[in-house]
Amino acid sequence: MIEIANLTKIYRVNPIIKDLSVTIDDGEIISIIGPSGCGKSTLIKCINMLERPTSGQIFIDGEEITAPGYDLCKVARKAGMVFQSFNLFDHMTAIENIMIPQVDILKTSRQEAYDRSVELLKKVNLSSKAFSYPDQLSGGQKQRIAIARTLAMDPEIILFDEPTSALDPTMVDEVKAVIRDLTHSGKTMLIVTHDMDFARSISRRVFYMDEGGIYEQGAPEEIFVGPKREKTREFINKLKVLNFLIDTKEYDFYGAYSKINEYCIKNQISYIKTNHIQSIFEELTQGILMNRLDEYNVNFKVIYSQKENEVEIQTLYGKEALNVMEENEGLSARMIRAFSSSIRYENTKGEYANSLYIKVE
Amino acid sequence: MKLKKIIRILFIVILSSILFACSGLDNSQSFTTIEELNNRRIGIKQGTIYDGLTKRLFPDAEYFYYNNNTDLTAALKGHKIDGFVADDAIIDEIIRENPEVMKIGEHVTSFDVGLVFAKNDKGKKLSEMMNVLLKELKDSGQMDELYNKWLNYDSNTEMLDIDKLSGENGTIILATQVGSPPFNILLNGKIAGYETELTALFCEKYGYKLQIDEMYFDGLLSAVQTGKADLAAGGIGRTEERSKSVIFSDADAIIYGSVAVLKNESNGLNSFVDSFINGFRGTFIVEDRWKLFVEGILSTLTITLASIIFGTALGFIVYTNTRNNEGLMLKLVRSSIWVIQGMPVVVLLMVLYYIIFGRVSISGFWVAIVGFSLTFGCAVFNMLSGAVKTIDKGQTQAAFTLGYPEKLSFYRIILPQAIRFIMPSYKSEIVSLIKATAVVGYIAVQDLTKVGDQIRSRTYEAFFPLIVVTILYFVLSALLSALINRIDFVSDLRKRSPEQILKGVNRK
Repeated sequence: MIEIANLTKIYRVNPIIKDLSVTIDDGEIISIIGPSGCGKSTLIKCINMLERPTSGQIFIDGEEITAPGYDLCKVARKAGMVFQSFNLFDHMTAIENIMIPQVDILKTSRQEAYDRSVELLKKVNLSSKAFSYPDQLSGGQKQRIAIARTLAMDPEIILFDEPTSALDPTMVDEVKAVIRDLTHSGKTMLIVTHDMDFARSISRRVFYMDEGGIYEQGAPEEIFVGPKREKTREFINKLKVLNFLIDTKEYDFYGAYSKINEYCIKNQISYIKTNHIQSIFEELTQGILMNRLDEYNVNFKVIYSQKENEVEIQTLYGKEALNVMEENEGLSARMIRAFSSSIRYENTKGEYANSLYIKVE
Repeated sequence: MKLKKIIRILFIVILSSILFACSGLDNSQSFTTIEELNNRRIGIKQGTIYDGLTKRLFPDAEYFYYNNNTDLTAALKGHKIDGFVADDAIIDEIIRENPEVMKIGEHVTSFDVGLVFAKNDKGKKLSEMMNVLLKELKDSGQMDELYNKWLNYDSNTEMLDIDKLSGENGTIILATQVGSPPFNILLNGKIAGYETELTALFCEKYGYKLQIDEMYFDGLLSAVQTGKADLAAGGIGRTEERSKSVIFSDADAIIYGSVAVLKNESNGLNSFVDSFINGFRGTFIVEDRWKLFVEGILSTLTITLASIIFGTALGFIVYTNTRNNEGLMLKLVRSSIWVIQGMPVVVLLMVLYYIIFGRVSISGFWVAIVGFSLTFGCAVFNMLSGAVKTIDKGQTQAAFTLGYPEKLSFYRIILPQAIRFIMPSYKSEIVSLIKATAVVGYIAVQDLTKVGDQIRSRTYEAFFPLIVVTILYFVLSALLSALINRIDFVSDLRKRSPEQILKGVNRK
């Protein structure tokens, strides 16, 4: 069992992980997803002390591995790791990569280590490559050898740090198959990955990491089908968000147009749609809201879903309930209707009283 | 492969012949009076009293400095200079070996020659003892006899055997430069001559053993001053300036100075062949001089090999002990390396010899090994730290996650990979080392280069000794590279067979 309590990791001055606490049971298979730089890799590197936590505690089977003076080699024996960049020992053949650590660390006899290595090579389907050096192997083969090397040390926990990210797409499947095989071994596995389908199919529990912690967690169905929190939803649906906070009538609207243009080019949104987005932005912020609001305060969001190839405009405004599109037959409102496929209004609580959801045609 | 080697050897032979023929080319003009030489190019032997004299005699001349009479002669023959001033007896010997050289005019100077002692209590005592001996010899007429014997020496001339000295009162170290007849010469592979024998007689009379260190002339006085030697000899003229820093014995001879120039003679083919044969005989056959080359090779090889071994060990030990050290220790090591590598090797050797080990009785040979071990150690340290840095961090991380303790991870995973990076530069470092050892002559070591110099001091002929020394350096570095290649072969993990990889395993 792994227990993490109030883990914080700060790089120089940037907090990567802030006050993270979680418990992982024996034999659990957990996928860790999240945007780049959210601390996924840092989290699993803290579990085997490859990264020293800035503060907080980590217990494995009740022993505090973060305690000063704790034998780090013992931690390594409990938790093996598979790296994104394989990190096979370049001066050793494939079989030595699997065999020598057993002899050096586990003090098994060369014969036993050899027998186990042969068995593992067979398991990862690479018996024929026993005497190849790492630079003679493909990426997928290297990663399979690296997995075999980790298995040879017989750890209770295996940490996978983006095991397929550095691979050619044609080789991803062979590595995924080997990892999938391991799910029946009863070992605790933590897999950091960007491969959503893989994460969904292999694990019983998914951590979505953001804002320096586990932002949302749950069974794969919960996270991938009905994520509850905003950032999870954005991430799962691959949403790209462009946000304008407008709080003055002298706002730089021309600057905003060019930002919309840039954003649309970056996300490969069609020319017509780009025009529609710009028109809705103009009519809504200047044509309608500027006149109707006592205190001009608008949060305008353009949300593009890569997955659905849809653009939704979310406009939050005003302190009091006011649906500006209701029974509005002005020119601006008519234009907005023309450029959209659906419009939904919600009366919300919080900083803004109104939310308007417009799907762009 | 074979053919390539043959072509290479042919190339060297042809190149050598061309060089030799060029060294014999003659297009000189002749001088008959000393006055004609003013405003010409004049050679000066560095550190001698002829320095000042030459400038007085030829105030308008252009001056060129050389280390010994051999180089002066070679420069004269090669038309680098038009004349030089030297001891009359030396010029006579040069003329004997080189008929194209001649003396012009009368003696230009004369001065007393004596033996040199340190200006301290011990030196004072020794010089007084020497004066007693000199007076005895003078009074009995033995001194003139001895002087004449060495003035007309040949390969049969015999000297008191210094190996038979009893030495009950300890050892006396004599610093000298050969090639200053009749005072100190190389004869049958040993150092002999008038002043050498005088010193031997001194040791016999007072019960000392005699050790002779051969060095460059301008190092003689500093060797005595720093206590590296008890006395110095080499036809050293007594001047007021020198008397300020050392003690001179009473005069043991008077030296006359003369001017040497080239005769106007053209060399025919006959004389070309003759001089070739003479040069060969003079360099190798006469007095078994080839034995000196053997000694020189041995000493160069020993210094090189010892420095490689000690230097590698030193660099490795210092690196492994400081590799995780960020503090004072590493700064200390880095600044030592900066100091050692910032100095020309010859300066480093002289600093070690005259200053650091100045008061310690340690031979130049060991100082050379210390010096080159230091420079080689620095190179090894830099190679190691550079190579280890190039190893991907992932290798250390992988070793850590497999449970390797830091030290084991370094020796098992990082170092074997670093060595593969190092090997090419290590090899070239060794080849430069063997060439760099050529400067050990400065601290009284008889290496290959120095042996070449000494033989030239007898034959006054540059070609053969230099070419032979050149070829020998080539051969030595080729041999060393071959040796290192063998080691490299053993260390190259990639060349192992599956049987070697799985040693001690039954593969079923």
